[in-house]
Amino acid sequence: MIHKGNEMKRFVICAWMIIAALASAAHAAPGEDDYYKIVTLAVPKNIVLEVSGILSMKDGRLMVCTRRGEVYIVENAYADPGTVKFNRWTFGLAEPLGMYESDGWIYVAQRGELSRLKDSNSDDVADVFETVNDDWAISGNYHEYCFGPTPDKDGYLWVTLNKPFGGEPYGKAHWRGWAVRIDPKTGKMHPMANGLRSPAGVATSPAGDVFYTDNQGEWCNASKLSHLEFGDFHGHPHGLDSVNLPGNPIKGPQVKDVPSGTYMKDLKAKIPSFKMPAVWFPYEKMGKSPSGMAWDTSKGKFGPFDGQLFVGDQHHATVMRVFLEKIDGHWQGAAFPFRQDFQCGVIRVAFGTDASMFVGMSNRGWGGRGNAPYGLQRLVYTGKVPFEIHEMRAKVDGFELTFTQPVDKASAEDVNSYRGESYTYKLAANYGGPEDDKMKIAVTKATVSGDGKSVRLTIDPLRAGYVHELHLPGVKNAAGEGLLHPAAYYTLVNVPK
Amino acid sequence: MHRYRVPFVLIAFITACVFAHAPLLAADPGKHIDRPASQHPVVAGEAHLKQGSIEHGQLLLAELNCVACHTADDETLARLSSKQAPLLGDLSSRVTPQWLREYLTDPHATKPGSTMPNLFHASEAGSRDSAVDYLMHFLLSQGKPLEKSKTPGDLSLIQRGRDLYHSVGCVACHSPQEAAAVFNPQAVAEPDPFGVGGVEDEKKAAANVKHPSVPLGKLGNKTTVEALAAFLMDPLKTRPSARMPSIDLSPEEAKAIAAYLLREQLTGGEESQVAGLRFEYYEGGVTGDEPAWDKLTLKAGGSTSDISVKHRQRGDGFALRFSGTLRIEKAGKYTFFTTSDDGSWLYIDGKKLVDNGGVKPANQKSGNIELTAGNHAIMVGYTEVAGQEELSVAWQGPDIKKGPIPADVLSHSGKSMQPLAGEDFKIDQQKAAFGSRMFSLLRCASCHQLEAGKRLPVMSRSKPLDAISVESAEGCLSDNIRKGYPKYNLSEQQNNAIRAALAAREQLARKVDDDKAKITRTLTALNCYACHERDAIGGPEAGRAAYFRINGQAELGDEGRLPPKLTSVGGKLRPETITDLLTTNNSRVRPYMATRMPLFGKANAGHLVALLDKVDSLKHNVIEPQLSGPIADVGRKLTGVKGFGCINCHDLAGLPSLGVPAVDLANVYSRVKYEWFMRFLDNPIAYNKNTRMPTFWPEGKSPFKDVYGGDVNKQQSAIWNYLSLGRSMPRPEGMDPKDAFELAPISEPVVFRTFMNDMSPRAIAVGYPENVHVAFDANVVRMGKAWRGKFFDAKGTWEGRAGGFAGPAGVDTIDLPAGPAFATPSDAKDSWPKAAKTDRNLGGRFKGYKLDEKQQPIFMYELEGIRIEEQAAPQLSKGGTGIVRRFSLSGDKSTTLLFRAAAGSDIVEKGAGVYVVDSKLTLTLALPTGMKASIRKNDGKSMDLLIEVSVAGEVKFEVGMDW
Repeated sequence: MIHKGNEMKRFVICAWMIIAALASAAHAAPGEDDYYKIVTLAVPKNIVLEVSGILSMKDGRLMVCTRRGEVYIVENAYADPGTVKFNRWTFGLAEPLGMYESDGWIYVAQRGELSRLKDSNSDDVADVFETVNDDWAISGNYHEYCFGPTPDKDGYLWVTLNKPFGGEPYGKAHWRGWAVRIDPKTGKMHPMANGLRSPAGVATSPAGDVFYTDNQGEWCNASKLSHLEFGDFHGHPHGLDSVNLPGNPIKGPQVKDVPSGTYMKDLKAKIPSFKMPAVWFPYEKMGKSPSGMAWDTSKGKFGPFDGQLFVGDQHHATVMRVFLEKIDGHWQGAAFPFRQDFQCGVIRVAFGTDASMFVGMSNRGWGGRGNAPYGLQRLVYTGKVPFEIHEMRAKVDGFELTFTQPVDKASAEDVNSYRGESYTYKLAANYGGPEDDKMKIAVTKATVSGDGKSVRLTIDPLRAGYVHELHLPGVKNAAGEGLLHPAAYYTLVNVPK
Repeated sequence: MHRYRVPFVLIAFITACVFAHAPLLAADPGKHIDRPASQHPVVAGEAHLKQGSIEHGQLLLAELNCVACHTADDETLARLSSKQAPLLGDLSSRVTPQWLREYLTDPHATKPGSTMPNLFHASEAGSRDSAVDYLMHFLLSQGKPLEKSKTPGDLSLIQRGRDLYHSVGCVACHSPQEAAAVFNPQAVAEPDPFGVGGVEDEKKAAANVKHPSVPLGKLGNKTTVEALAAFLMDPLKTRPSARMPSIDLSPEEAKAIAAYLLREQLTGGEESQVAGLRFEYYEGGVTGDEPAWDKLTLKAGGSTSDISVKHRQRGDGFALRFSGTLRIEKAGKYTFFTTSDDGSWLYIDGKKLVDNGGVKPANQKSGNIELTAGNHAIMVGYTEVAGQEELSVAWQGPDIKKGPIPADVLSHSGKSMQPLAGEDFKIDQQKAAFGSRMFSLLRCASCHQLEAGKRLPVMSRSKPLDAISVESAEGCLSDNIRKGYPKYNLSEQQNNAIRAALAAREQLARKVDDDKAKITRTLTALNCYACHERDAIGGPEAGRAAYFRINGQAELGDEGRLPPKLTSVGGKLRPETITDLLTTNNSRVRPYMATRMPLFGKANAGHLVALLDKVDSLKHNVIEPQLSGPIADVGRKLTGVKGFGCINCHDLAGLPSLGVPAVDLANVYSRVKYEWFMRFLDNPIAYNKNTRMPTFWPEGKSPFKDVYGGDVNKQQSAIWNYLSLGRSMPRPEGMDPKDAFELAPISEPVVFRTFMNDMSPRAIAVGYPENVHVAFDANVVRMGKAWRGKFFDAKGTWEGRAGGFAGPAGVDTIDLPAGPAFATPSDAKDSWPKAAKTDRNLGGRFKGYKLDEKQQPIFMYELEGIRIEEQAAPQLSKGGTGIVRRFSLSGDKSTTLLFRAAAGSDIVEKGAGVYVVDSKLTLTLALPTGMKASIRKNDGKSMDLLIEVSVAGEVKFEVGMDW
């Protein structure tokens, strides 16, 4: 009996091996890994590396900070990942969530303050911890994070201040839900924009514009990327009591002015300072929790997406790609899937000296995809150009898409190669929000350019204030291959005239 | 919609509990099962005296308080130091009328073994009954009546009380009610070859309880759980002579023991409103949605006074339901809040007010309702699916600030525990007046006072003690005691003993000048011998010893369960330790021992301190070494695993040993005398033949030749040096933190920013390897706390979403005054500025910190243009390392600031810059010439110690803190 049983087991295993081999042959089409490889840096067992900030230092070394308040200098970050060494530079900080280096100081955003740290005796251990500014309140809620800093073109440092979770009525914790900038010379804080919810990423574009990512929840009913400018209101009423603090040049809106259940596209009529996002990241489709971001300024060393933005997602363990353009004075654009399968929730992304991208992770408190509790990985371009949508630009009657490789003209001009829908969101007190006022969109005409690298689409209907979700299952390249990621999500705030 | 009537399953459950707990109620739950009690007055200490001896007689004269009637000279009174009878002023609030009636009528029938004499033994029933009635009217008119009990019959409470009664020490004097094997299988089953225990079986245990037990009487008739618990909490209040000492119970423990002793009241009592809410605990199929309660599995239930997750039996997958009645005093609009992780729901009068469901981190939701004055039904449901769990409920209403619902407005229907057999009793003032006279006439007033020190007149005189004829045919000692004389039911031996004592009159009147005899006399009267042996007298008798047990599983043998011997205890312990043991016992050092050292009060036992110090003195001229950091460090190495491995058995400053939890080494210095310690280390067994501590220097030789060349004396002295750091003893090798979240400064300081209780979310905790720690508050800008021992638990900062507030993980915490440390003279003109919860930067602007070469932080802040630097560094000190705060202030223009060094209700200047705050904290100021400190008395009782700091250029000063 036992003998027979073993034989049967062996047969089953063989059968499975054959099926598995066949299956993998069928899926031999190129994957993300062929274009961008993930390299995992080995973290010693005694270090809990919940990465919350990544800094490529001016001396070429890599620095990471962690949610546990430690800062490490990473030696051999670019060498064989097994030889990596983590040297602790300091510890005991209050959940630092970003770093910036200037004039020999490391600026760090801690829960309670923007600090600057220095190793004054060059022993690779910090010994001076100065408070640059700590004007905001903490009531003692876990949600009261502080993100940043990122410099603007005037030399100020921006931080974004998470609002506490729960705890109505709003406005108890001053400056929570605000973006502020701090003059590093005087230490003075300047309020810049309000209405933020959980602004987990804040970064400056190559052109000097400051953007932030926000996490969906109450009064931020879809995750988004938004442009931060003085005086703007981004939707969440939590911090609005701070508009009444003495010396605040931003006078509104008041909490009572914010209605629940209005389409955000229509809010400007009621609240002139309301700012529409640059990009919405539709829930589940793109991610659940956008976090850190970085612009590719590698001029091609990181692949074909020079000048574009890469945004992490803490739930999906992914890095997304964003193309932005300014239409009628407003930054807007499209989000694309880019790379998945990181170890766990992505908190921070940053480019290293060799144009590879460091990705720092932690799944503590929220969970998400990937099994590791934390990690540090490096995303390296293999030099092979993936077949991807390169840019997606709004046009008066549709979109113009460019590609990283010439397309097969017949497939790209076939309107049946495309399908899509558009929808928008309300600003409301409830947690998250549905894709609202949804409607199918049709590509009525598709024209490929002479060089085969772009296609001009006419879309019906085209609606201002709506996400236009476009799928391109039928579009092929010359080799007959489909797009690596045949989807795009364009947030059409303004239609070009 | 879920109705919340008591489900059938709950009734079934309670029935099952009663059944399952049948042994708890013993064979017959309706009756007390005291072992056959003595018919003669029980004087606990007499078992340790030669029966019938003069000493025995003297003890009886004192314990029966014969001199209350038979006056005696001062020397006799001093020698006897008689027991004071219970104070009766508020007797009415402690006992039922029917019990009092029975007891006065025949104390020995009601409470066999009582030391109260029977005054009506020869009276006619009619006159006896009316005298008793008058006395009752008098006694019961003196205070408030006994309140009806609100304690529900709660089996889990009774079970806890049963366990406490048989373990904390009650049965050292009172009768065990069940076999020792039930509570202490180890001691009974495994005779310890070294020990006093070693009783083989239950039968033998019962047979071995030979000393008479102090009787409890018919408690079920006598009182209520609340009244008995109040007595247990403070027995000296009504029985000032501490023959019943305080056993240091928490209110919950006292209530549990009371409920156990009154357990026969479980069967009585009618359904009525009882305190707290009913709770039901469920498991099985729990989700974040509101459960269909009858689909879940009911696992436990009972009464509770707080709505929380306290009654959970596991961390995940459970549900709780609380139901009962909410009493509203004032009609109006009420808001109810629930905070829960995961779901919670709150109903008032069947209407769902709060819907806080879901699997989620803790958040608060609320709902409001108009309520009329009167009773309203309340129900709270709660589910926990996975992860952290939390539940709290708050309310807000007319004149009620937002906060928890107080227990006294919550009730539910259930059976309360009421005294058995009630008697309605109405006070008749005229009868009470008669009773008052009767109280004097019958000489009750000779023994009993209403309040301490207030004696009622005694109308009839007795013969003085030295005029008594022991041969009298009608006296207290005779066979035919005359009507109206007290009858004590003395045993023959007791009678003989008293006769012997009275016969030896000259001895009775002789001043006691033998200190040893004085000690023996006190130990006998207070029955210390029930637990302790001293000079071959006393120690628990075998039958009772079997009940003494160890908490938990520690393998410490008899040393871990039996109270220590007192032979030469005065040579071992410092006088202040003995004072503490007898009066407050703040420094309990044997947490593993279930039995507690009772408290006897200074008046009853205080004299033992000097006597023991004198009698037991080792008369050994050794000089205690000076404290030295380097020598202490040698001691630390010798203590660690690479040295003698003391920590293999001994805890250290709250850190568990590597093996058994023997006495915490951090308590040795403060308790023990140096000369005893040195001798003890040489040969522990010579001082305690039962000890498991071996000698580490066999034949006077050290195994560590490289430490002081193997010099035994120097090595022992180094260990003493290390021990003298008390609870700031740095960790020895081998005691690394085991908890993943414990922060331990081992080789260098740890600076840790976190959320701290009493401080703010901008706290910066600093842990030093010297095991003294501080915390700075960057919100208000001040040094806020200092403590010793364990540094900090980062769990609240590092686990899950974090955001938890924590306090110091160690001990000996000192809170520095709230509010800013520095202020301008104008801000602090009349009183020191106070800090509200959200106030910021009152003590200046926080500027950060820098680390010195030892990695110790120097905090920087700025007030009025003055740059302030403050370092709070460890300063080694005997009894516990202290802190020295070093200040450096600098500014470009000359400015004066005030620094508040301390605040308290009492600050005393001792000279030379030394100040003592609230008898606890000693400050030593080191101020430059011209800088002055002054004590400011504020309104009320508070005082501030202020230092005026004038800054022109740079100025420095120091404040040393020892506590």
